[in-house]
Amino acid sequence: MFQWISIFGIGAVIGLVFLHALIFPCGSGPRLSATGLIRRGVHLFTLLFLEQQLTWIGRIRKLVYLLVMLAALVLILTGFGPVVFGSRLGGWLLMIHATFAGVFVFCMAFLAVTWSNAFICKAQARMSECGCSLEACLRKAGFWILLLLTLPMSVTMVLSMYPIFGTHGQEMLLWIHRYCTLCFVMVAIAQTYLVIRSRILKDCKTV
Amino acid sequence: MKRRLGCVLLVILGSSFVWAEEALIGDSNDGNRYTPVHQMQLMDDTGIAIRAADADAKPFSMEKTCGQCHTFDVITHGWHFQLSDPQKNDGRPGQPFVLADPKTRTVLPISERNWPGVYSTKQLGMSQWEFISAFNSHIPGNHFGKFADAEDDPQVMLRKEISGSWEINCLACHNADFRQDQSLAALQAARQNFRWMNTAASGMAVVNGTASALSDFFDPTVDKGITVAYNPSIFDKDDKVFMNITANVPKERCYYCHSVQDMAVGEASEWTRDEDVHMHSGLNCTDCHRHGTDHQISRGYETENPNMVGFTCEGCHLGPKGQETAAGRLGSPTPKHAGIPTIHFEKMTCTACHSGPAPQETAGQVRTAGIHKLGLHGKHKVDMKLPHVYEPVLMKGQDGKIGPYRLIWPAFWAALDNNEVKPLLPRDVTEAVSSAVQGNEPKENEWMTLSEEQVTAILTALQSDERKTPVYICSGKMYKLGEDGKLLTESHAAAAPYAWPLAHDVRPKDQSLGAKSCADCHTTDSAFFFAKLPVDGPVPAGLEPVEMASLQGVSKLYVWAFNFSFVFRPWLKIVTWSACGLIALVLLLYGLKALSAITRVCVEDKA
Repeated sequence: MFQWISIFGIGAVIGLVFLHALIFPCGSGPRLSATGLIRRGVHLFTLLFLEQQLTWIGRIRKLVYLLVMLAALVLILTGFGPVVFGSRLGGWLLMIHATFAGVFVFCMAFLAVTWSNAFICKAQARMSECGCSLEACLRKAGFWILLLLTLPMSVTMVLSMYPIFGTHGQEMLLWIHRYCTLCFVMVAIAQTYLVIRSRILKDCKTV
Repeated sequence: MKRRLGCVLLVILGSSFVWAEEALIGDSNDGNRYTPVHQMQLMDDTGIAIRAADADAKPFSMEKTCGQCHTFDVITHGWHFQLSDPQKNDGRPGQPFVLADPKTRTVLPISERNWPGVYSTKQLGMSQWEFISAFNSHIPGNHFGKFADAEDDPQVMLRKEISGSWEINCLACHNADFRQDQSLAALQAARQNFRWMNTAASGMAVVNGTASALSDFFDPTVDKGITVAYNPSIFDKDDKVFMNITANVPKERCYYCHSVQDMAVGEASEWTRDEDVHMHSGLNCTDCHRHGTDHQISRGYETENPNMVGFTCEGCHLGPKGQETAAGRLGSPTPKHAGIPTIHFEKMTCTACHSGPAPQETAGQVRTAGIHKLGLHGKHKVDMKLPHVYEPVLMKGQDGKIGPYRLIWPAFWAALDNNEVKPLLPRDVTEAVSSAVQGNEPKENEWMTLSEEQVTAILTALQSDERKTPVYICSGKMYKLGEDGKLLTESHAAAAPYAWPLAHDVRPKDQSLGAKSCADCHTTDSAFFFAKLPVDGPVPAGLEPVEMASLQGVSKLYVWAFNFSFVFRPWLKIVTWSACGLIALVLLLYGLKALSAITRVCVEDKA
């Protein structure tokens, strides 16, 4: 059941992202030519670099952000990989998963402290006038949803390590962990897309 | 006329069919839980009633006596009596009969059931008489006792007439009278008094005489060789006898064949050992190991029979799958298993954590009643050390789950024919072995060592048929001679140890693995994964112990790394709790800010 829900859920989000990118392209130049694709690829790659104008905290934040992306990628591969193929997480993959889980949750906490302020909507006279575009609103909402989902995702697994929950409780904790993680992954894909898109748009305006 | 004759024949056939199908009074239960009083007539094997005044009393026959009220033929297909029974069900591997002969360095697992690693009497060329002679101390009677293959051996034909057949001994289990003496039954069996053994063991009569000492030309119908003297007080005025029969078989009856002696506990300290926790809770063996008239006893494992899942660990404590409301049978507590990830229940049996002695650095040695003939208290008492049975061996079973097992290392001489190993019985190799190991100290019941030169000499002596290569299986290896006459060792499936699951004694829950912490098993030197299993055999070369992890089908490196990761588990908990706390604070802080902003906007809007 979870296998198919996760395949469908993640597939749907990725599909929507591609569809959105096709319908509402960002960046300049030809979209589907070889040079255009290379240029976009290079542009995406440069987003990984540390900009010179960043402050020291900004640099650390970006490094942590990149680290959390890496950790999330490893966690997704080790967690959803076996599920997609109809088995369950175990063995070496479980060890890698648990190792990167610690890194992930630590980095998320760091980002929560250092980056949250960038994702608040400035109060306006009316609720409908927050001054942000829809994309920006979604990007900001995505950040908060991700933070919120990190809590049940992490707490369920830590709780399962204590002699508190019995067999049914353990199953329930695993169920919550799985579905929260699925939601997290779906939101994370969309949010990452929106962040990259905003950066590209910003870079294009600067140029 | 023809029509009339046909009708008569039809009636006769019909009535005989009805008669054959007719259930006897003891074949079912009308629902009354009262135990019927077994005041009945003893019958001899010809169906004649035995009376107190009989001058030349005969032993009573179980088949004729119990058969008055119970359809004996149904009972004879029960699990305990299924040797050579074409209707037998194999079930999961269990304890085999083990032919242990120190002189020929033989430890050979034998069973008529189709279990991997055991050999049937047919494969071994072993007659039923030989089988009964070898294993007569702990068998409750079976089809072999009729010696159906006696025609092949005139000597056995003669002896069978003298000794009689070995009937199923109903009283071995169902007699609640404490005079029931199975040790005496074993002594009678050793004397080949098969016809008399059940009578002697019942405590109702004294049997004198030894069938094995009688001449081949002894005529049991005329000659007086073995006498039976019934206790006259057991008969009432109608020559009926009261038998204290119970369906709730006392555990002591089961223990005669199913006891296990821990070799780490000396005989003087045996009283310090605890029984299975279920026994101390007031249960009896038969509370879980039940059966109906067919005597197909529940063996207590999940995959045995869908109708018997209620009698498994899970069935009682958790309720069978889909019938969880049936949990708690017989007052069994429902386990919480707090903090134990559910993967444990997929990969391990209940018994892995709850049964047998707790795993130690090295697997312990035990003796079992069936294999080592424990419980013989007369002049026939033996003190067998071979075979060496190891437990608990935590290994992966046929069901793919890790559980505790008892294990032996087979050792036997064999002929290799097209890579198929055909074991040789001790009688076939005694001469060759004796000539090669004359200098050895006689050391009964323990392994007498064999040098590789002696193995070479014995294999050379056994070389008779060019098509078959003589080999010696021991210590998990197969020894054979190369073309140059030098000794070679190879691996072979027949050399693998034979293991069977153990389920008892169940320890109290606080002594179960995992009850204290994960560290009961998940440490880099835990006995569960890294305990040593000694490799056993008479050839001392290359007896490196085996680690449990290798028997569990997991990589030692992986298990070590996985267990090592538990060192960091407290750190992971601290990091995760701290991080989650911070995230929760940030969410709270900005949540309050958002609430404040909303309130402000609402106020301004109103203004």
